[in-house]
Amino acid sequence: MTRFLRKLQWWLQRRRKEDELREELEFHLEEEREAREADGLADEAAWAARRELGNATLVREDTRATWSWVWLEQLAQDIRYGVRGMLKNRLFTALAALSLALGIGANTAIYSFMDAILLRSLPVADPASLVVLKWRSKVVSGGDATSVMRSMDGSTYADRSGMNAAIFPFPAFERLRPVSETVLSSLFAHKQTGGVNVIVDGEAELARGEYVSGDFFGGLEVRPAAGRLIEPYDDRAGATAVAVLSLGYSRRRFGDAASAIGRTMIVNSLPFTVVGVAPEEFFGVDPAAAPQLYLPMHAAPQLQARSFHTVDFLDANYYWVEMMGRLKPGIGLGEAQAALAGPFAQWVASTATKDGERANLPVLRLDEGAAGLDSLRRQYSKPLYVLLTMVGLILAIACANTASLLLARSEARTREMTIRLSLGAGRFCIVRQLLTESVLLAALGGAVGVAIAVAGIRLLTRLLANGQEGFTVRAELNWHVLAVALAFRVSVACCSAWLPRCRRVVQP
Amino acid sequence: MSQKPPSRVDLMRGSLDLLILRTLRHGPSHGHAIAKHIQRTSEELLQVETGSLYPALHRLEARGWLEASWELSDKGKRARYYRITPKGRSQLSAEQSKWEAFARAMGLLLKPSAGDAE
Repeated sequence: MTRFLRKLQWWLQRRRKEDELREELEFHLEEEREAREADGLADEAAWAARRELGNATLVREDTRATWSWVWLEQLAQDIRYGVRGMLKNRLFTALAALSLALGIGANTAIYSFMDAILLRSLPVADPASLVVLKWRSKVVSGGDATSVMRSMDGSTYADRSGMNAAIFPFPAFERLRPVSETVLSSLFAHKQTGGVNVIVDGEAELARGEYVSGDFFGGLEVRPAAGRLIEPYDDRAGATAVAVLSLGYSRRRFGDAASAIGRTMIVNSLPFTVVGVAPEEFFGVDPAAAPQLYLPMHAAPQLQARSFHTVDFLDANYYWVEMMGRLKPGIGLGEAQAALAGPFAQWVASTATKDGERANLPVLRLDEGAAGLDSLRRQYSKPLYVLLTMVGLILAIACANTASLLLARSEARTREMTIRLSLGAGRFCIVRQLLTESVLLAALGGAVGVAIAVAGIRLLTRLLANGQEGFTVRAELNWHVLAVALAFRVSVACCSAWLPRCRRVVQP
Repeated sequence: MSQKPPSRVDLMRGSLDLLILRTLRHGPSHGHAIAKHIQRTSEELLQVETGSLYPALHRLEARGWLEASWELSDKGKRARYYRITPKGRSQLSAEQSKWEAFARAMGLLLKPSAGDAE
């Protein structure tokens, strides 16, 4: 503390203190000169005295270091000088900053999207312990007579090993739930409703809903933003029809979350009571879906009964329910899969009636569920990687551009550097000045880059949505990516432009 | 700067502070005189570099071991005179005893003892 006060005091009267220091050294020089003259070296006395003192500026600086925040002063000095230099070369500054900004902006925008789609975890507690249940069957087929999947509602995809999907018959869920208790702390099911007609206060609107089993929210460990979430007792035949809304939807239809609680809304002409609102960050388990309302699984038959084609939701050969679970602590993915695959195989064999079906039974497997379901990832990962590669190349070109600009300018500044060296600037001093300048340039580029990234994210959202209504990927500006891109650019700028010069400075 | 006679001894780190404090025990003095005094008293073996003298003086002043004031030198010029403070005196005696112990230890180790065949 006393040190701080001392430095503050010096800083407050630094002009006078500097003068005193200069005078003190002058006096020393004078004394030394006189002493040497007395020794009979009159001709050389002044010169010798000066030589003995060495670099006077350096002595003053070393002395000052006791008293003041030297690095801070020097930083301010470097920044002042750097800004002056940038203002003097406006064209150069604009070009360099712009190329920097474009590189940083484009990369950040793309990375933010990749992060939102490919890397981000579900916004729930401990997402790493979540698993998704899937199956694989050998023959690529869609609902023909040779498989037990006689009818399906959901997405499947084929790869070299056969057909993959994450949809199951509802009876399979009921069979697996008791079995899973040894390895999973909960097993829950959900299914998109597709568009449903929602009437609030006489106003009808199409909305995206999700059927969820009773322990969906409990299993995901989601806390309500208002009211309560769907509980196991809501999801059984004959229970009161309840609904949970997303925060955004509750605001839009009811003004705010709290005033939605207890209200009635008509979904496909059936009344539902709103009992709660999901938290803002929760988007369901599929980043592509982002439901606006959640209904108990058992509402599905009633709701669907009102539509044109009716299906039997309890049919053991109708595949439609998606399942997720949460691993018990200490249980691995493989262990859980081993525990569940057997009972599933047993059950699914009982649903086969023909030999062709028995030859091609689906096999259960478990996948990590931290990132939610992967339909969006499958759909967009390739275009995003292509974009990322392209933008990476553009970044490299932009880097090369900036580097050559800086190199050209460094040639022009050789003279300036030589003069500064001969005036007694330390070598570290000059290198530091150059680094400060490049960081200044990068900061300018970074600021513009943020603006470009924000605009780019908006543009990309529109491009990826491709006219789709209710496209829900919300890419946010990713500060980590921005920082990494900025650091990358700064290091490139430093290496490519300053290194040749640093070398010259260090070994003149 | 580098053409010192080979007989000169470079000042060891930390010993400059001790020498300055010791020199000022005789009375206030300015930087140049302190340097000259150290040089003369050490029979020109020790050369005090100006580049380290003034930072050292200011450092000691900042620690409160020295006080400085502007006075007229014997030739009638304004000079910055340093004088030792009571705090500096106790520091000096502490440093000095530390140094003497060190010198004694070095002396014991380097002195040819009776057992050495010489």
